[in-house]
Amino acid sequence: MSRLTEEQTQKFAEAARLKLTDAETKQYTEQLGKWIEYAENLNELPLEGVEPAASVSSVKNALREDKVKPWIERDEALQNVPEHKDGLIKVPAILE
Amino acid sequence: MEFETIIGLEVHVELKTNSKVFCGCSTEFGAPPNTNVCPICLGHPGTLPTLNKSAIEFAMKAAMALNCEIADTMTFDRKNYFYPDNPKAYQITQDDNPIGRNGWIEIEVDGEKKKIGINRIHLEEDAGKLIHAPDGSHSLVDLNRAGTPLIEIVSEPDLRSPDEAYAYLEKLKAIIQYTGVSDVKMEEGSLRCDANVSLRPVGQTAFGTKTELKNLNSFAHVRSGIAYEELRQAEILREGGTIAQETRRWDEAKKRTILMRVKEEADDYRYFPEPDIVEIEIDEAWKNRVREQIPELPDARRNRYINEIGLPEYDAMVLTQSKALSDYYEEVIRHGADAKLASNWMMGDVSAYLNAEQKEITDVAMTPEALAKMIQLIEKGTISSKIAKKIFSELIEKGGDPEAIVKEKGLMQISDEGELRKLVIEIIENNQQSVEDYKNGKDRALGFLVGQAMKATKGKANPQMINKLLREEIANR
Amino acid sequence: MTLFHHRLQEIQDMLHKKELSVQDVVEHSMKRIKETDGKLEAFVALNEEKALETAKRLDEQNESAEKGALFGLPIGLKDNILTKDMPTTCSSKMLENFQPLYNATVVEKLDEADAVVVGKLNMDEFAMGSTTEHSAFQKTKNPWNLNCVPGGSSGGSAAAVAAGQVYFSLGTDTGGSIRQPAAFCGVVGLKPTYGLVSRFGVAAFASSLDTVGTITKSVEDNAYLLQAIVGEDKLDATSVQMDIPNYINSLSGDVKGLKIGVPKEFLSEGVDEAVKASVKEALKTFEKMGAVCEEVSLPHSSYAAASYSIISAAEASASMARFDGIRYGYRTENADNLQDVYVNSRSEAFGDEVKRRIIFGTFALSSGNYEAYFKKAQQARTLIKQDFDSAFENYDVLIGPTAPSTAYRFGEASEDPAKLYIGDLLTTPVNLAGNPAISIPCGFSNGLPIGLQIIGKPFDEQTIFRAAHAFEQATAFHKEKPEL
Repeated sequence: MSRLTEEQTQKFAEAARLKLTDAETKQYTEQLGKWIEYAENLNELPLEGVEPAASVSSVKNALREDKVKPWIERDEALQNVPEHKDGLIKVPAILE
Repeated sequence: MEFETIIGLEVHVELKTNSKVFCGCSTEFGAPPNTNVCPICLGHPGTLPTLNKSAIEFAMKAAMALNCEIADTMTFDRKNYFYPDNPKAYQITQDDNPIGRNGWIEIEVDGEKKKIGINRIHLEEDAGKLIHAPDGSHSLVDLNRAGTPLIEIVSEPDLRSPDEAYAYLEKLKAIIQYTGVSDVKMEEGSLRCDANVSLRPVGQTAFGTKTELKNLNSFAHVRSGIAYEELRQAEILREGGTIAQETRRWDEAKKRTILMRVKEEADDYRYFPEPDIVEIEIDEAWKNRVREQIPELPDARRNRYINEIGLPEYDAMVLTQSKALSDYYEEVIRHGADAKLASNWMMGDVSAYLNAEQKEITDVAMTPEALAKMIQLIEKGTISSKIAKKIFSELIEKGGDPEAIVKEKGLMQISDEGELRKLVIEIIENNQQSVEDYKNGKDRALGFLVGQAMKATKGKANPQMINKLLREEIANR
Repeated sequence: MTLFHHRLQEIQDMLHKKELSVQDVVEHSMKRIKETDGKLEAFVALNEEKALETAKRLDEQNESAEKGALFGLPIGLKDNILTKDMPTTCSSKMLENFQPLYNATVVEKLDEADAVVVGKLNMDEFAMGSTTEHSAFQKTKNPWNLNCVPGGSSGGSAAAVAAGQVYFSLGTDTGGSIRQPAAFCGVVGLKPTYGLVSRFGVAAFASSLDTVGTITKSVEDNAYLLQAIVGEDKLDATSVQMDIPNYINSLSGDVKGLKIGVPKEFLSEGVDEAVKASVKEALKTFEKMGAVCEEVSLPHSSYAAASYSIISAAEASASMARFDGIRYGYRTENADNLQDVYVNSRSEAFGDEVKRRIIFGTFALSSGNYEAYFKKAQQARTLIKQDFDSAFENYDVLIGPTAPSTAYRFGEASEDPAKLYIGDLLTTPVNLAGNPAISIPCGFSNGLPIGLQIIGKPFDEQTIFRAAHAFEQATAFHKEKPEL
C-alpha cells in the first residue's frame, strides 16, 4: 500500500541532510518499502486505548541542583572543531 | 472592506538560573565566546542531559503568575532541525506535556480592560549565538548561550491591535519581572518576541492566512511591525490578492517588513519524546511550595495602592509597572513620606531623571529613606518646594542626608513672621505700581511681589506666609 | 591452559602472592592480541603504552593500597564507549579522528576497580547491525570459523573474549548487540536491565533501548564485571538508585524449584533445528537440577521486530543528527556553504546501514507518519512489556535461544536487510521491555557455538546469574576454546 516513491526517499534523505546517488535512491526506496510493509504488521494489533511507551525507565523526577560546575577549558572545547577563529566556531556561508 | 487584525505573540524569556538547564555550565551573560561550554552543551557523543530543578521552579513561578494550570506530569520532547547554533541538531523542548496551559493576563488600552489568553508555556533550551561576517562569506558560532533555560509563552490569538500587543508585552514583562525569574531585558536578549499577524473581514469568524514577524528588537518595533503588517495585508486584500504564509523581518531603518522566506508547508520538526529525560511529576505540595515564593504581582499591588494607600488609579498603574520602582516607592512611604507626595516625586522628578540618564532606580545614589526625609522636610515647612528641587538634584547624583544638606547650606525655609513682615513692607514700599495694579484687580501683580520676596531670600521664604502677609499689608494701606 | 582460562579469583591470588605481576597479565594480553588480531581484526585501537604504564602503577600498589575487584585484569571496550586516553570512533569514518574530552562513567568505574583498558573493539558503525560487517574500518572474524561473522554489533567485544585477547570486555545492547555476538562467539554476554548501568559517555544509538553490558568467558566473571560497573549515575537521569545486590553471592549452583517459562514463540518457525535441539537439551539439564519448565506465551513478541525497527530508527535519526561536521568529526572538503558542510560531511562519512536507518527513522517521525508508525510502535511496546510482566508473575526466568541460527558466513546475512531483522526477533522484545537477559553457550553446530538466552525480571540479574551459573557448572560448553 504505502510503498515509497523515489521522490519520497529523496525528501526524507534531504530532511536528514543526506545526499543519495541514483543507485542509492533506488536501493533504499526498495528496501525501505519492504521495511515499511513489514512495519505495517502493527496494523493487525488492536491498539485503541493502549498507552504508547516512550520509555521503560522506572525513574521519576531525576533532577539536578542549580549549581555551576565548570568542566572544560575553551582549548578543549575547540580541540575537535574542524575550523575556528578567535575562539569561535567557523562555518561557511549560510544560505537561507 | 473593513478588516479586523488578529495577533498572537510568542515570547521567549530566559530564566536566570545559575547553571544551564541540562548541564552545569554557567549562564553568565557576556563571557568570552565558547568559555561557558562543556561536552554536554556542545552536543558531544555520549552526553546526556540532567534537568536543573531551579529551571523547573522558575518556569513554574512564571506560569503561575500568568494564571496557568500547572501540569501534574510534564515531559520533554526533541525538536529536530539542523542549524549551527543548535549543537545536537535537536532542541530539547516540551511539546505534548508543557509545564503550563490555559493562562491569561489582563491588559488595559485606552481605559478598557481586556483578558488575553495564554495558550501554553513550555520550558526548553536556548540556542547559541551566530555572528555573520559582513560580506556573508562565513558565520561564527558562540555556544555560551546554548542550553540556557528558556520559557516560551504562547498567547492565544486574542490581540486585536498594535497597541494591545504593546500593552500585553508591557504587562507580561512586568509580571515576569515581579516573579524574579528573568531579567526580561530585550536588549540583552533575555526577552524575545515573534508576532503572528493576520487580517479577516469584520464579522468573519475564520482566521485569515498569517505572516510571522521576526527581528522585533523592542516593544516599539513590535508595535510598528504589526502596524505595518496591518496596512500591507489590508492593501493586498483590498486589491483582491491573497496573503502568502511567510516569515517577514522588521527593518527598523526602512520602517517596513521584509520577506525572509515563504513557508510552502508547515515546518516538520519531527517531535518525539526525549528518552534521556524521565517524567517529572509535580504534586500539589511542590506546587504550593513554589506558589508561596511568588511575591505580590503588579495587579495585586496596584489594587492595594488604590484601595489601601488611596492613590489615584493612574498613579497606581504607573508606579507598579516596574517592580524596582514600585519597591523603591514602598520603601519611601515606609520611611514616613506622605503616599501621594511620594508618588508625585516618583512619577515626576525621579522618573524624569531616570529617563534622561537612562538609569535604573537601583543605580541611583539616593536612598528611599533620604527621599522620604526630604518629602517630610517639605511637609513640615522646613524647606520650600523650590529648595527641595535643588536638594533632590544633589541627592540623586551624590546621595547623602537631606537634613544635613539643608543645615550645611543654610537652606532652611524662613517662616519667622516678624522677619518676613519686615521684608514684605519693604517690598510693598519699593513696588508701589504693582500694589496699585493688584488693588485694581490684576491678580498677577501679587505673584510678582511674591517673586520679589523669594528672590530677596534666595528662595528660602515660606511662600504661603509671604502670600498671606502681602495680602494683609496691602489691605491695611 | 593459558592464563585467561583461570578464574578471576585465581588470577587475583597469583597477583597477590606475586607469582604473577600485572605487567605479566597485560603483556600476556598484548602478546595474544599481536598473535591473533591479524586474523581476527577485533581491535580498532590499542592502548599499549598507557596500559603498561597502568600495569606498572598497579604493581607498585600491589602491596599497600586496597585493591579494586578487577585488579590488574585487561579489558577491551566496544568503540562507542568514550575514553579520554584513546580516540573513540564508533567504527565510523565520521569519528575517525575524534578524541573524547572525558571518560564514560563505566570507564571511570573500571578504573576505580583497577581493571586495565588495553584497547577499543570493532563494531557495526554506531552499533547499527548484527554482524560487525558495517564497520567502516575492518571485518572482524568469528574465532571459531574465520569465514563467519562474529555477530554484532558488539562483534569485536565478543570475538576478543572468545579468542582470549582480553580477560573480558564491555559491549552495548540496543536490540541484541551483546547477546547475539556472545552466542555466535561462544561466550557469556549480559544485557543488564535498562537503568542499571550508566549510559553516560556511551555514544547513543537509540536512547530508550541502549544498555551497556558485560562479555566474559564465564558467568562468574560476568558477575564480577557487572558488580564493578553498576550503580546510580547522577549524569544519567535514567539510571536507577537502588541497593545493589551482591551478584557473586547469587552463584549458589542451586536451581531447585526455579520456575522456568519457555516462550513458545521463541521456538517457532525460522529457528534452526540444531538450535532448537540444543535449547531443549538445556531445558532438560535444568529439569534434572530440579527446575520446573513450562511453556508460556509472549503473544505480542512477533510484533517486537517491527516495533523495534521503528523506534530504534526514529531515535537514531535524532542521535545521528549531531554529526554535522561543525563541532567535531568528519568535515567534507567539498563545501562552499553551510548546506554543503551538512550534506556532504554526512553523506561522505556515514555508511550504508546508518544512512538507511536515519532515512527510515526520519520517515517514521514525519508528520503524517508519526501516528501511523512511531506511535503504533510505542503502543506495541507497551503490549510487549505487558507480556513480560504477566509471564514473570508465574516464572522466575524465561529461557529460549539467543539467535535463530549459528554465526552466518560473511555476506550471507547482509544481502537481505529484512533477514537480519528477523534475527532480531528473539532479542529485541527484551530491549523493548527493558528486562535483563544473558546469553551463555549451550551447544555447537558444525563447530559453531549456540547461545542460550535467559531472561529475568527487571533488576533481578541475580536470578539470571544463578540459573546461568548452575547450567555452566552442569555442562562443559564454556570450556571449549576456538583454535586460532
